[in-house]
Amino acid sequence: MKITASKENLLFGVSAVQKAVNAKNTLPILTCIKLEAKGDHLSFTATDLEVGIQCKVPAGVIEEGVCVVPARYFSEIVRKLPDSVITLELIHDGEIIIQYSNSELNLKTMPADEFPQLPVVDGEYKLSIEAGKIKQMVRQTAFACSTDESRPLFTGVLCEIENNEIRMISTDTHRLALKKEYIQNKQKKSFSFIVPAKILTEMARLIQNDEEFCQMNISKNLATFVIENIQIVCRLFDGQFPNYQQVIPSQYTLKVKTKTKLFQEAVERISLFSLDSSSNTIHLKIENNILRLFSQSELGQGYEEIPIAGEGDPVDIAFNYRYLLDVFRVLDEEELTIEFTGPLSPGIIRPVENNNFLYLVLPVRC
Amino acid sequence: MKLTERLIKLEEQHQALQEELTAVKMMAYALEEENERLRRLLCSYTDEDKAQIENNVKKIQGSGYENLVKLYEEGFHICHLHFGQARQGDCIFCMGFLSKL
Repeated sequence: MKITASKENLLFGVSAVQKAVNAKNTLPILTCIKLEAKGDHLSFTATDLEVGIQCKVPAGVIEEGVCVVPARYFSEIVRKLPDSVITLELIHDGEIIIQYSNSELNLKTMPADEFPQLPVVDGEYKLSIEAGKIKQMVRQTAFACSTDESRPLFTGVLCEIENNEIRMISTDTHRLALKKEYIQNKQKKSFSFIVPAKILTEMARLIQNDEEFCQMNISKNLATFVIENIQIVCRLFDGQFPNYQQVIPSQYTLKVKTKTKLFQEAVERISLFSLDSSSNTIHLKIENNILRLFSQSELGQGYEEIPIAGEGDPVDIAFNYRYLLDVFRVLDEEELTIEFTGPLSPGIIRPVENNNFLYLVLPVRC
Repeated sequence: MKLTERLIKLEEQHQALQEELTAVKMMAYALEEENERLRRLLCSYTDEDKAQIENNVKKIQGSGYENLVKLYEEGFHICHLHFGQARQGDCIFCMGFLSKL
């Protein structure tokens, strides 16, 4: 194998597959990246057997071939290389020579035939969605997933496809985020699957051009996502996602409308007094078109009033302020509504004039 | 075996089958009558009896609901996913389940 490539392309390839490398894996081959020179590109592949990522970058291929390099050292080297044309050449005694300017580095390689092949997914369901759309969906849902690995199902995002609609739902059992979008579902089939949130987040990170399309290929337990030159293969979670529709209240006793930024800044200020408390609680009292925010701890206390437009019964409720701040970070709309059904029932936050997003958050009992 | 003998044997078999069919038919009539009788018996509960039954059902359901609320208040999940496991904070699925009941 012998190729020439720019540092920029090498760095892009290494960074794209890095997430699939598990440095602590007991199988040394899985701590490596496979480089394959073919045609007019160099492909980078990494896998930890749970997820596999492959990225193709343009390269001048002088001699086609394959080699497997230790990910940690190779990525460190690539990061520190100068911005010039780099030559990679595999020599016969299992070493790769990295040449730049008038210098060269030699790095030991691993046997390429030991590197596992990425599974080929020929799933029953195929779907194509604009990359920008899926990026936004992931942004507005993945944050609400659980990080508790003892409940793996909630570390995933439920994707439901029904008619021409795709829905992503995530929850950590204390809050729930739901985002839906219109798609062209040529297969006219309804199906659902649960993808690990960290894979979706990584996929969203790798999307560079929002105009591109993300090709999804879903089988019973595997999924492939292809965007431009990047392919991600991952295992899906096996299990039944709880009936989330049953927990979304269909009626409310109070609905208020306010400016997102105004509310966010008030919560940020008042929550400073909850930083040290274990409950992270912030109190909300709504009556007479005024929303009063209140918080206290050993540090002191804070109180703020913001005007709202509301209709319904007054409410006195408390929330974990972190759950509120999380949703403000993903809301792009200027105004939002909050629906309440009582001090112990979940509050529902929706952007005004956009019915595609919903965030349900449980109150804190005081 | 001659053809006539074979025909006679076939006729005998046919007759036996017909007799068995008649017997099964009689049995079906008897079962239908018994079913009808039992249905009538089932519907013959008085309003008082029915009210008593409904009360018992409500009582059983009520105590089940109270037990679930108690279990939840004591800090355990009652949703089907994590039933009986210790919970940290409120769970939307447990609360959804309680409000549905």
